[in-house]
Amino acid sequence: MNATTIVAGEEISGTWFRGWGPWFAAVVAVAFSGIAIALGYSGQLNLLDAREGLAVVVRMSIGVGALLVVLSMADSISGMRDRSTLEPLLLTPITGRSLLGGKLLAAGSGWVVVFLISLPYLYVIGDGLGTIALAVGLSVVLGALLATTFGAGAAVLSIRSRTNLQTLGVGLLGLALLAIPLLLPASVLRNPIGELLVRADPMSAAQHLIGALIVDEATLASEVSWFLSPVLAALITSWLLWKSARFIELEPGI
Amino acid sequence: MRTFLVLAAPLVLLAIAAPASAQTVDIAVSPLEISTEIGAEHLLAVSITNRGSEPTGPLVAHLVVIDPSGGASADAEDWTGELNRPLTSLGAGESISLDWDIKPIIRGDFIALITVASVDDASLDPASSPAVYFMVTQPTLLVSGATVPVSIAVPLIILAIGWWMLRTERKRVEELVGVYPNPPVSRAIDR
Repeated sequence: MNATTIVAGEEISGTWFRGWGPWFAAVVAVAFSGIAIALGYSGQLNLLDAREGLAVVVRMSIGVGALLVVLSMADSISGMRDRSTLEPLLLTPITGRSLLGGKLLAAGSGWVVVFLISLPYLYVIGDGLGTIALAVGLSVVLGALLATTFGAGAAVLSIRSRTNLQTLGVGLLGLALLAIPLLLPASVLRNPIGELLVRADPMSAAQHLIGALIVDEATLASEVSWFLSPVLAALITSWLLWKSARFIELEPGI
Repeated sequence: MRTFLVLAAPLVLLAIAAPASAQTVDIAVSPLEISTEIGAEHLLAVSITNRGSEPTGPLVAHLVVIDPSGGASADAEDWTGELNRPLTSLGAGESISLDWDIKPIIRGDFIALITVASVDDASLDPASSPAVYFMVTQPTLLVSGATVPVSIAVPLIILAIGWWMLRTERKRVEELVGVYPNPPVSRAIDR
């Protein structure tokens, strides 16, 4: 068993067997249940509403998964600095890359759990629509890409930050900034600059893909270019993490 | 008989005096009645024929959706991806066939028509197809019988799994520590 697997196993055990993981999962399940029941009892529901409901569950699964990964990875190094547990760890023969690889895998388990919880809800909300497989596929692909992007990005911040509060603040601010293009009026998004903004932002591009493929029933071939920024963002942040994790300092400077 | 002639004569005169119809384009459409559900796709087979003796010039075919009750919005652009279909000029006696994808998006009874007009010849009267009657019902798709049981069962199952996992872990720690159900490790260290 290599060091990455050992770290991942310990972290997963700490979160899901000894920590807050199961209670968080139950809260997520209650939120999904609320959406499913609200949709199921909507008297004037039409097909469009049903597809919107399916898209909401996919968006929620991806969004909550990404948030969970950011919170976990923000704590990965700067949290240990705050708790004074980093120094003994740096004295062990484990490399920074193995340590952060293991922590990233463990943080990814949060997204996997949220995705698994969403499956029965996707089934009941999408019953009869014929788009369940598409919704599951999008949830897996976009969820994995965004979890990697935000997890690796938060880990890089965590390596460079002096305090965990700093990492969390910058990480959550970044997440909020990436959500801003989604709030722009539709008329802005139709002009070339607005479209470029949404295309360049991996989170907005993912949201667009979910809406276009599930709600508007666009073809995958016509929308495939929207995968570019989520894929690039995952690759770039992973490369940054690979570079940054080479040396983990006890007292870093940004 | 005399009464009939008196009544019929003005009508005959009117018919003779009226200008000959300039409508030279015939539109046939099939089927003429469609009972369907919201979201189901249907193909209308449309055949457009030039009955005149001259070429028509460029034409455009357009889908119209009418809500006879006036109670619902029937925007034809929501029913099809191709509201207008540009057509090339039809020679005398020539026909063209089109398949028109239509997907009703709201419940109710609607009338759909295909109209054809000349793009640049004002003397050619627009033509209209026979009416196609859509009877659209709401599919019983969303209120799945499993919604409520799943919505109740999933959180309960997760809580049960979480409780079991924490209990198992606590037992494992107790076995490792040996004696105490909640080992007062910190207090022991303090002393």
